[in-house]
Amino acid sequence: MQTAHGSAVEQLTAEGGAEYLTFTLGGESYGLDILKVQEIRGYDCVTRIANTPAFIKGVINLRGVIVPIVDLRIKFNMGEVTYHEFTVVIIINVLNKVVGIVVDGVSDVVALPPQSIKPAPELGASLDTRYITGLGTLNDEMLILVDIEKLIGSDELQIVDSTAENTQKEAVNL
Amino acid sequence: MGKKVFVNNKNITPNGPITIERAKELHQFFAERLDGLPEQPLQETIDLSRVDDIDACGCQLLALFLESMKTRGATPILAAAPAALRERIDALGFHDLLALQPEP
Amino acid sequence: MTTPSGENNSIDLNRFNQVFFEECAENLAEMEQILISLGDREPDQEQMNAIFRAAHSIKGGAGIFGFNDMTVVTHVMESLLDRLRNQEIPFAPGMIDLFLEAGDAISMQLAWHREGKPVDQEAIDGVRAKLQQTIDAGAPAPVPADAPKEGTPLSPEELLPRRCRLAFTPDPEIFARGIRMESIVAELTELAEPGEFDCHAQLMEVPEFAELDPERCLTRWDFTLLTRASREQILDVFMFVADEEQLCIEEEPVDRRTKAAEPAPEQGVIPAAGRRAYDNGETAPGAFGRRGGEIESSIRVNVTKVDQLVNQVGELLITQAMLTQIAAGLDPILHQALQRGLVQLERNTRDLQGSVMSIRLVPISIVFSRFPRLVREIAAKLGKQVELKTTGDSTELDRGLIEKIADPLGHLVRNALDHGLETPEKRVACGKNPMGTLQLSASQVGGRIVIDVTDDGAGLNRDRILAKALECGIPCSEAMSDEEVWPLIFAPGFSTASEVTDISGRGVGMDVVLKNVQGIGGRVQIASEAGKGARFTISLPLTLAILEGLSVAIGKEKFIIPLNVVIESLQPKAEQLKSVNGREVVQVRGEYLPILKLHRIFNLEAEVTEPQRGILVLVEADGERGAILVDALLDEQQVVVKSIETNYRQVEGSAGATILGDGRVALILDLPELFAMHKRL
Repeated sequence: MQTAHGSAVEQLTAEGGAEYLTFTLGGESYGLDILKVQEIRGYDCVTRIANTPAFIKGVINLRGVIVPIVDLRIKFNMGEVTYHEFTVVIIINVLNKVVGIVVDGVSDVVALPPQSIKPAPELGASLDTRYITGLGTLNDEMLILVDIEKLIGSDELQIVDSTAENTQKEAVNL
Repeated sequence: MGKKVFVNNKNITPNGPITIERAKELHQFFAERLDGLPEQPLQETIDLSRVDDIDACGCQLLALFLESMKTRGATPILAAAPAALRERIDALGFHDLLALQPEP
Repeated sequence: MTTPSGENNSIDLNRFNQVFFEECAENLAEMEQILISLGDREPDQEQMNAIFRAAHSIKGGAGIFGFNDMTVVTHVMESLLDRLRNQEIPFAPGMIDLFLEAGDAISMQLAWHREGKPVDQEAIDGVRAKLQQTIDAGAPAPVPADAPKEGTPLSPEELLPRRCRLAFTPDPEIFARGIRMESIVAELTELAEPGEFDCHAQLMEVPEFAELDPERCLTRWDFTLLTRASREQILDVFMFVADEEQLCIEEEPVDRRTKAAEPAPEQGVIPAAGRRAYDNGETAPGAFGRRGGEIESSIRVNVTKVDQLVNQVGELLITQAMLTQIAAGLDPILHQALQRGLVQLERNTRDLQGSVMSIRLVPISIVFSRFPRLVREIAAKLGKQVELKTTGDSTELDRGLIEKIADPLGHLVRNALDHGLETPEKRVACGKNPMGTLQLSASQVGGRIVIDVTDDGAGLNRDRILAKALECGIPCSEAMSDEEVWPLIFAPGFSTASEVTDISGRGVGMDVVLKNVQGIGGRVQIASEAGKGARFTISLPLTLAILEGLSVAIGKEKFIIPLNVVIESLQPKAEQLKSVNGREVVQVRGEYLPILKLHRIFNLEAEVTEPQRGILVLVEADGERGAILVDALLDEQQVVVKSIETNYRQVEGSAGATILGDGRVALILDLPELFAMHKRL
């Protein structure tokens, strides 16, 4: 967390392109638009919610706000899942929702010039291509750039209650 | 706006509306005119012929300008106010503070 | 994080506009309320004055804040009202509708300025033209409006024009706020007798010119006018402009019949009442007009500030609970003083919380007042005669609930008018009064607010509902009791209206009503009797924000059971536990209650799985009783209700969550949902 912050400042001066928070998931490196990241914190005090898929770990109290926690490692079947004092939760803020995602580890904040980002191929990553905006290259290493907004809003994760939204729309149309 | 503008016009001639929207700009304009007053000023004419609108904020600014001139020994005269402007100044109750020269 | 004060470094015009918008909306609401209450009757003098004042206030405010488009309709409307008031034009019933239409036009303009909603300029021009026509058609030879006419009742004030001196010391921001002194002067001039108005500006200080802020107001005004206008009318001019201490009115009554110029001996200096202060019914329509000479001792506060306060008190409550929890582990003898302090802290916190919560409570009349017009219009459209009665208008509930209950209630009202109440012919044929009755009533029952929508129409049609349910593939049978049949109408896509109307719409409706009501912790119940009428009862929690709860433990998890559903708790004896149809029940005083095993419903690891080893909490919700099996009872406490849905979807079986003293989240149980989940197991 500390390192991530330190290098973020250094990288801020890098010219052009968007900045990404890089994290690892099952041996693969991923990048996340830094602007969508609210904070990074440890995994702690999660209250379970009944009858939800295993990757929904429950909810936490984030300074008085109830925030759901999704374990992407479980969601994308990435090997053994353990929780210990170094387990990292990235708190992201998209679609007017604050959601925590559990990943293997947070590495760095990097700036990627647009020309270094290539479209995502059809296969390769554990993450469905729908949720990938592109592939970046950093020090000869491949970085999978996640469309976190799409992922969080997806039916697969069931975080956003799509039926509730439909009902609301109906209500407005009355 | 640069440092001090060339000020020698005996007449001080504001232009356009004297309203809240232009208060800052006019404040600076008047401030410069005040700075540009000669050592021993006598009569200073403020020509209102090109002023097309004034509001309460503008009246106040003008009144404050006149008072400041008086404290520096000048005798300000408001001249050539168009009829609509006169009416407005009267209506807003500034007839005493902004004593207008009678219409020619 | 934004702080409310942090954003206002520069003068925010919008903030002041907001005050005007709110007051304008209130004026419109008040006007509408009066107009609706009239039916087709002619307004009496007082009502006429109130309508006039509302229109006038809107016009004045709009002029001052530069929303000139809004002054157009209001101006013509005001003229017409003035003629009516002075009986220069006879009243005609059609005028009520015209005024309502004008109100709509102004509302539309307001919505445009406020929310950027599009304006139908044709409609506005149309209303304006109609108003003007009415004036022109009805106007006899113009009579000078000021001259008192024979037969016109005049109030004593109108008989006696008096000289008023008005000292106005504006706040320094008045220019920056966009207030136009010109408008104020013009309005005052209008109130004065012709030629009897004088306005005098004075500089309060003359700072060093280079250093002064040209937008800051350093001027004060003295107005002198000979007027027949009431003090209130004069103050109304300053409605959006001045605070209490900024105005000072000095009145000298002048008796025209004696000596006009000589001031009467008694004269008083009365500080003017505040213009932004209203009584505590501030948002209630009509509150605005009730000003009169009452002493106003309230302030208008932005809702977000109140919400912030509520949240902060909530946090304080959590901190207090945390401290109590920590202190519980300390030696009570050694820390006696600390314990005493904590008890005091707890009491203070509760008191504070109570006071803060009461700020959020507003009367339901805010919602009820929308319906007279709706009912009038729909009844007219349907050719039905309906009398709307409301009771319990002053019942207070949480502001958050008020906003969310309006739509469901509106739907129930429409439904009752469309499907419930019959046409006059039908009613007469059934031996009923041709005039149907629709009753809205609200009351507080225990910790809940109960709102009834009752009509004396035909009642729900059991056969049609069953037939329709079958058609829609909703499971049902003839053997079902009425109480089981009625809720079928809440099924998605259900509608029994033989034809789709533009009033109740098509099928979308009752399911949405139910969902919306449930979304705020409410329930809907139906009672109906064929030929006699139907009653829909909505019951809501008093407030959304705070709940009395019983915290219980199941395994490592803690849950909150709302206290208002708890009857008692007990440790069951073996002989009390029975099995009925394979379901475990507990016998309590001759009654068999199903045992809800939370660990099974929620798939948890519990320490206790056998009822006799744990604790049963007996609960009752919506007439249904049950016993919840828990490992242990922890505490009875007030909890701050937090929404899970803010960041996550709705969680079945929970009515929200709270944060416990240890900082962890605990779910608050939703009993009716739990019962439903239990039945599915």
